[in-house]
Amino acid sequence: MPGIEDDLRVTVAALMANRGERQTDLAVGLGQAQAQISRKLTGRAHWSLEDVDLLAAHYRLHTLDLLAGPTHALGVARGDLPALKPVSPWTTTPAAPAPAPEPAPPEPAQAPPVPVEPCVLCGQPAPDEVDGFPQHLTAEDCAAAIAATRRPTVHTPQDTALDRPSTLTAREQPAPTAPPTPAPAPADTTLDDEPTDTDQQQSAPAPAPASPPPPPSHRGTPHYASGTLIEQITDRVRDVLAEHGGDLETAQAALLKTAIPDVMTLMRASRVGGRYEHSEFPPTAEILRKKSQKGADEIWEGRPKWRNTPLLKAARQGERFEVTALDMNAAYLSALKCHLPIGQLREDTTGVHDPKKAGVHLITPPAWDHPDLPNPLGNRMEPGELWVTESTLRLLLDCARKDLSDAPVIHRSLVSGASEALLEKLRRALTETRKTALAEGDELTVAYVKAMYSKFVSTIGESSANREIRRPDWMHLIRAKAFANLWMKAHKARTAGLKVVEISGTDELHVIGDWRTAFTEGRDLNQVKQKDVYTLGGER
Amino acid sequence: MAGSPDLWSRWGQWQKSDAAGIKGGEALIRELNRIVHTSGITSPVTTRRGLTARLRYLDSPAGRAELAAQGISPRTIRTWMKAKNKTSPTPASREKIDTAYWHRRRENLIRSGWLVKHLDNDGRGRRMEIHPVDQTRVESKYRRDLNSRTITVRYIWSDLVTAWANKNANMVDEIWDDVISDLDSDYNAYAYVSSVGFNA
Repeated sequence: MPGIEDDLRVTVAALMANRGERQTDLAVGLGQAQAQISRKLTGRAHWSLEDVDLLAAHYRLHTLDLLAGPTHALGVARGDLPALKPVSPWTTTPAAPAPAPEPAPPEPAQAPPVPVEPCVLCGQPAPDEVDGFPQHLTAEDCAAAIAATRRPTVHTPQDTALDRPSTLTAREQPAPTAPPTPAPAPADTTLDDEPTDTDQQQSAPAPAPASPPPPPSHRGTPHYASGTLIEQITDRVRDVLAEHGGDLETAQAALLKTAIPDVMTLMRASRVGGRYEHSEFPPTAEILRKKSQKGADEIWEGRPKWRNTPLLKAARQGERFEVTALDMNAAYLSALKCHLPIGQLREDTTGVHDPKKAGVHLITPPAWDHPDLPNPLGNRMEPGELWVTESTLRLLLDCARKDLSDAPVIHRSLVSGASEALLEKLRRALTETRKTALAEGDELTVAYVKAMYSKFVSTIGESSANREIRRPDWMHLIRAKAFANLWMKAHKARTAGLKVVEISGTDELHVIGDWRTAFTEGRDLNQVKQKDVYTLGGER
Repeated sequence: MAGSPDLWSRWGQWQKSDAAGIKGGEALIRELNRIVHTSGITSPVTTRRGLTARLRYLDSPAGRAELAAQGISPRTIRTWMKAKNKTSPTPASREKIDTAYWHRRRENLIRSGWLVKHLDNDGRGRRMEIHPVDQTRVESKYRRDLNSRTITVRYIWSDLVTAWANKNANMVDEIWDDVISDLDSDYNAYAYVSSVGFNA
């Protein structure tokens, strides 16, 4: 029995399809995180009444129209049906409903003329079958089908206001909208377990520029980051600046000098009220111990350093390529969101990966035979077993799930219960501060934030510069996560039809082709920066 | 709390069910050693920079005496000290220089009071994280749920450093008793631990 919330979910999906919007666009419109929208669209989170108001304002509908079912809402949004109530004056006038030229809502739902039976979820013809039941595979497909059928039939009934209720209910009938089961979640949430900003637009060639620009958010992002933490950072900058009489250079030097204790204080503040109490000085496992003072331990972080050799060979033989060097923004800041072990690492020899735990693993990596895609393990030459971190292991398992390689064989694990949210509050505060500072052109705060997160990552291991925490495992996991994120970007570029030329360091990706189809340009965490354009090959 | 509250109250029987750990006092000593050995010259003695720095550090009557105690002849010491960054001792000699350096440094950290001052932290003490014994191999019915505990430890540091300097293990054990008695009625479960960590 579909409730009003299920109705609303389908309605929103339909309206999004109608406008050609993506979850990111809607997220900006509502001032929420894309991950939150994803959860609400798949039924893993509830829509609040405030959301309904925001949605109504976003789509310029009255809330009653929005809640009257997908068919009605879509009709009103297109201007085909009269609204139940005029839009309240504080939103934009209803005179300009969603732009009329359809940005091509996905038609393929209707394209195959073969036995098309009504979807059990929305009642519209569905090309796919699951367990013998014809149905659409995602809520978006349902919405697109509704949108597609609505269009031709729309103009026939010029119903008066009086008989509208009856026609409405009649028209509602074919769309009983069972809850779009949470199972077929959007592709990006299932593929990589991090649907947040770092790699959200998985469905790559979706023509982002084609969609109408969402109305600018006038509310910022409430509850994205903790206000007290952000204040703590900005206050500190203001105090130091005042201390130095407004001299930016000396203030910056002073801020960078205190970045480590500051970020540790910030981290401690961000863990107040946290669910898990993490250990800060667990006994260091033997493999995490450095062999000498300057040496490294045995963990392979998978730092990428790869060039597309067939392509370079072609370039050497005279072919010319226009290559764009892209730069990922604040790679280590994004990487603070990774599965971190909470307590002391304990040995586990079952050889099975437990997604609720994290740590380091001794594995035999699978073979990799994609000349046009870098190995997720980085430039590892020596064969055989190696110790990798959770981040790398999860990436390898993802690759296996995507049929890019076999699954790695796990021999030994040192793991502890894990949480992806340990540093999330800290990361969000830093992200939000950085974003605001960039928007305001405040380079001092940007430099301070950068010093905080980068020094945090480099000193949480065994460093005499930071004695507040000693987690070499975290350091490795976060670094490896940054490398894994870069690999994901390379994979995304290749999926979008670009050619990957080189990936190196934590943040460099060189591609051939129109990269703007795959990435958006900017300085935000989910955007990329163009560093350089150069020509490869040709006569020198 | 699972199990009998005095399951491990009789010290010495705690290993009966295959729990793994060390005496709390021993863990304290290890942690103090770690603090000393993570300070000081970071370049290894195999590099020119590390070697020169160590020789400069040892260029004092006490340092020379320590080198002599490592079995190096006065003549060799004289040669090294004369041209500190031009000498190139054998690996075995470098090893001896390194040992002498750490002996001297340990002495000096104790003598100068730096270690006590560092640990005492102006009376604020240091946060100590206590990790209970490893029970992964203990049969589940004998297992107790012990958590890692974090306490702030004050006042003991000068006694602890003195005991550690005199290599008086019994005294360190007594100090450990003192530390865990702050925990709660269950303190004797922490008589043996898997490790201890300070934020120092």
